[in-house]
Amino acid sequence: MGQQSSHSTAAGHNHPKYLAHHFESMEQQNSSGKLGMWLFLGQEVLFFSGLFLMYVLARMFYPDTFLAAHELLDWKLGALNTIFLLTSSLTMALAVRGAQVNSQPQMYWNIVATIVLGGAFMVVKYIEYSHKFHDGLLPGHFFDAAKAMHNGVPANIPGAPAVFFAIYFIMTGTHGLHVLIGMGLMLWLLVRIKRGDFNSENHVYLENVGLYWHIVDLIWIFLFPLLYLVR
Amino acid sequence: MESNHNNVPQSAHAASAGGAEPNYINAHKGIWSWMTTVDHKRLGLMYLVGVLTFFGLGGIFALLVRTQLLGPIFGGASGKQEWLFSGDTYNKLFTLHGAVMVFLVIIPSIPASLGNFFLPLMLGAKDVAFPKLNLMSFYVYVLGGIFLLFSIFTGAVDTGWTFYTPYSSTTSTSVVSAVMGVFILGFSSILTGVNFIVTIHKMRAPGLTWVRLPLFVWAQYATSLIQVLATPVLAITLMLLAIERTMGIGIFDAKLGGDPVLFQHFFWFYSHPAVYIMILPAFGVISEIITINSRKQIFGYKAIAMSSVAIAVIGFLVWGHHMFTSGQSELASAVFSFLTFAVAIPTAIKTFSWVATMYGGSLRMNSAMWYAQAFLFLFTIGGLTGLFLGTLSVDIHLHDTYFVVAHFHYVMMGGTMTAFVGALHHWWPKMTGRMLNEFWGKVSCFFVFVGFNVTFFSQFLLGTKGMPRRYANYLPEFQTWHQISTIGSYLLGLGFFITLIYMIQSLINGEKAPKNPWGGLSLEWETDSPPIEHNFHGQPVVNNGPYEFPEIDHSKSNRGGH
Amino acid sequence: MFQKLRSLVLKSASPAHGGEHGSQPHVLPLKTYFAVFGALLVLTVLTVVVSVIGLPQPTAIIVAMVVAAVKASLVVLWFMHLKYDDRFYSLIFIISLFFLALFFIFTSMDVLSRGQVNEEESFFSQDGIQLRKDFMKK
Repeated sequence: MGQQSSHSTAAGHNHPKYLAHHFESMEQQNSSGKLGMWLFLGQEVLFFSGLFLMYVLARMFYPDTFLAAHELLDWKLGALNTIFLLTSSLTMALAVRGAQVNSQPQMYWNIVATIVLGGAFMVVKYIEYSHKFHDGLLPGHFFDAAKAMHNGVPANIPGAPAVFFAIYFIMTGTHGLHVLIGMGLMLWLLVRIKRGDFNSENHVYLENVGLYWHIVDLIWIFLFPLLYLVR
Repeated sequence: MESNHNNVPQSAHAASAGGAEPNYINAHKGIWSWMTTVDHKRLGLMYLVGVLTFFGLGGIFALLVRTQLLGPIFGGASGKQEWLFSGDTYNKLFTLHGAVMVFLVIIPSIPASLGNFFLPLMLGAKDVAFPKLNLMSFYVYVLGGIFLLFSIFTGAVDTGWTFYTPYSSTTSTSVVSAVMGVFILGFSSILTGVNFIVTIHKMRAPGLTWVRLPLFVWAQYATSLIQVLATPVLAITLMLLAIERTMGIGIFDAKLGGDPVLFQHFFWFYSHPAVYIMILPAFGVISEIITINSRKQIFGYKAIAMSSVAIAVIGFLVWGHHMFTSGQSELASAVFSFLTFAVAIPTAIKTFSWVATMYGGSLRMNSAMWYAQAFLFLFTIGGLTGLFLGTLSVDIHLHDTYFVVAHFHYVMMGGTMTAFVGALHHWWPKMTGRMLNEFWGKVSCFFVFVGFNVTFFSQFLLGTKGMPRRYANYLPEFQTWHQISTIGSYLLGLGFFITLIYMIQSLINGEKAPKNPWGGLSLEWETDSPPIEHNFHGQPVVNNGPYEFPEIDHSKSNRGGH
Repeated sequence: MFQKLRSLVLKSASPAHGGEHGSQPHVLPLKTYFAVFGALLVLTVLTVVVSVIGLPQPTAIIVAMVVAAVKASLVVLWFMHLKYDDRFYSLIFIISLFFLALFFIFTSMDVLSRGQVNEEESFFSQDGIQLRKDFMKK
């Protein structure tokens, strides 16, 4: 969304620089971009709703499994990641504010910080995943309790531990994919900020990436207690 | 009598030169200009070609399915008598028919092709809000189609278009490729929906208030709402199905600790609202055709507009009626059954309003109107038989029989596809600048109508007698009705074939279409046929509602004696 | 209420051709952002502490979800500017949450009420649990 702002047409003689030919005013163009983004976020909410519902029902079916299996996840790493994402949300919000006050460096460095924090999140995620792979705590058919026990992990879990780890990997994996997409979008933002594309009048693209990033953060806010802090 | 109600600036040069100005088709030349176009009209046309191609393909699958059921293949002495196809091939054929028709034809038919073409025109806008996104969703659609068709060459799918677990997670056919195709098609649908909602909110011409929107726009709005809110759930469902298949995660497979009924909940949370993605745009089309050809203000404008939104919302509350015999709880079944009846109310409001619009109108029976009448008849039957199926106790008997098959074909085919073809007749002059042959239009409509009823009414009878759906074989007592049904399907195919012929003829040497052949008042009729590249000269301003036709002179008509 | 909703839809998201409303963005003071961030950190600590203490069920899950919801609201209202932005965006967000709730409520209603007629159909009956255990062993 908002990519229409990238080509300022020569056709509209009295049009502002970033106004696409089919819009009448910047106000119309900006609010269209943002409305589109909010609709897309509504779509994201429904997309993740399927995963959360899967979690709720599986937990209803196998409460003991969830209670026991979550012990195998490291809540400290989860908490660290929560802090990374919350901070990245802050820097993202500050980047948008930078655009509002026409500050090039504020935009640039806050986006850089956001990318770094997103990267840190992915590194921690990678560490967690590689432990799980090493211990055979994998989804479905790939779940290997014997291997885990051999590595000293108490994987003798009642019920359906394979289902728990499937849910863990699917939910965090889908979320991680969103983080990666967000980081890709932000790299593109950096190029455009350097090019001087954004200012207080024209920054709906930046704002939309920001909205997307916050919704990714939002999903993690729920994932963290649901997966790591089951009691 | 076609006074220019709306204030559309006319360029002096276009008026004098008489259509010498390039239109959207010949403004740019070369295949590359089509491949990279962001013009909503060209994209609409490209979608139309795609949809019609897949419609032909799905139709061939359907005729093959019916042809199989023509033959006598009752369990012989050897138990292996086969006519035409083996049971496995038959399973793949009906699955492909269903998947192609639902995901590649009906869902994008009216919204993506006609919606893309006419929505900005009706709003007096230069384009949709996000033209590049529009181009992208077209390519996403093509990619999804390729994935879905690719599965044919890697062993096809035999699950039925519903992909029910645990069969779909265990069968040896290429489910993953097909599911990926549908997953991708979903994104095309979501992006189109987002685009349309923003367009309707932000791109309306000055004076075009919400109560002056053509009802087609209202229908598109409600449709887009469902596309945005329901389709992501399909995406996640199919993703989980693919993972279940490859990794055995135990969400949908009872053997691994999951719940297959859960898959049905996930699937129908999208797929029931999707039924309304299919039918709502058809409602919009019918509102347009009937009103323009009755030359009369539509009856109950606000009721029709609001009932579209109401259907979109209530449509989300009824998905459990697909699952009455699946092991769903009795309480849930009863609640869903009750809510299902609620959907009938806004739908009936529409039907009554259309009939009331025609009453006392000065009817012009052109071929589009013929199709609209066929729609009214067929859709009413489809809708009413839906009530039988929504009734818990009756559904236990009728579930998974040909009664269900006949019901949804009356709605999807008799409803949506009839309206779609009618809409093509209605807007063909605007899209191509050529008139269609009226005589052959009516002939084709006759064949479609008769053929359709012969095909599917017999299936109601088969269903009540207990013929289950999705079988390659049947008991001898069902043969007569099956054969009648098959003959009907050939008539139906012939009807559409005639349409194809005269559409091609119209493109080659059809009569040149005037700007406004039917005397419509909405903005799409006030630009050239075919429209110029940027739709309008300057910014149109709207002063009237879309259906404020001049008063009918009742003195000349013996119908208006009340 | 309908009138209010209607005016919301009609006015807030009307095209810019009509009355233009202030296009200048609403700039929040830096202080606000840091205050929200601080609150988010405090709530994160709270949710961890509650989990470590180990409240009895279902209190624990309710507390965890309420805290998460508060955190989410903070992010949505301030970081995503929903508090100051066009009300129609809030409406979209609320509608999406409404449909999410529908999905949850109806599906859970089915799962929780299974077996009211035939007890063995329930996911939670002794028979059901035993059946699943037998299944899993195979």
